[in-house]
Amino acid sequence: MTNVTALAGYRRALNARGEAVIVRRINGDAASTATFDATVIAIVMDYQPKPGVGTDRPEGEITIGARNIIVLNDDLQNRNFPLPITKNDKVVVRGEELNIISVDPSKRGVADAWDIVAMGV
Amino acid sequence: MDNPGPFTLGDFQIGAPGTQQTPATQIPSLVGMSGASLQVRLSGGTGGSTINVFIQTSIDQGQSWFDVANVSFATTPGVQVLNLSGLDKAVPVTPGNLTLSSGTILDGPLGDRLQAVVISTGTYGAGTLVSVRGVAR
Repeated sequence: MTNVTALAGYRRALNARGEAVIVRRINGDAASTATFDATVIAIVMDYQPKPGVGTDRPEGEITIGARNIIVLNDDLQNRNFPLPITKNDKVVVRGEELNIISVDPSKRGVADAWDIVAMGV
Repeated sequence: MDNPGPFTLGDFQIGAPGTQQTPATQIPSLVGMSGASLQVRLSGGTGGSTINVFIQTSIDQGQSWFDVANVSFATTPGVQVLNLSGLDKAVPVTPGNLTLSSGTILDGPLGDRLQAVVISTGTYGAGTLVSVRGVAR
């Protein structure tokens, strides 16, 4: 059950340092796909660069980074996002589409918040 | 209304003949809705025979559902849009479950939730997808 005090704390944190992101669901196989987007406020943090996956020159090194993203379940419901969030849903942060590699509804469940790890190039 | 704006009633992969519907956990809450515009899209769509997409609403908190629109496709990909109005007055009708005629809309009764029921006949090829989107107001 959601702790209203914890939820209020998360809401304050989102108001203070949150940014708008798009949580995206893509269904179907290419080229017959359908997308549903929900724009919500999230906290994006902990950019963790991974070792380069390509070192060819002159293109330079390609680095993959993972981010920890926190969003509130209430906000997703209010945007009619088809919950639950699942692995391989997407999150668009500042125009960059990240792939969700893990999602944990329990870690921040006291505030009914989703703890997401998403990775992009 | 509580949550105006876009919503989805689901994306349905079509293959063998059968019936699919919006998952219960993904039925949008549309409390206070007075109208909605819907878009039903068939993409892919090789083979097969017919696809009927019933849009249903419930007035008794999801205990029973009845048809408010029926959109049909054959084997050609396409898009159909429709408008539902909860403000229209009409004569009383007996609600139907998967009985509304193809290409018709039942205007007037509109509950606080919507779902899609997709019935396909014939076997469609891989990559056939029906998606149902809406905007509530």
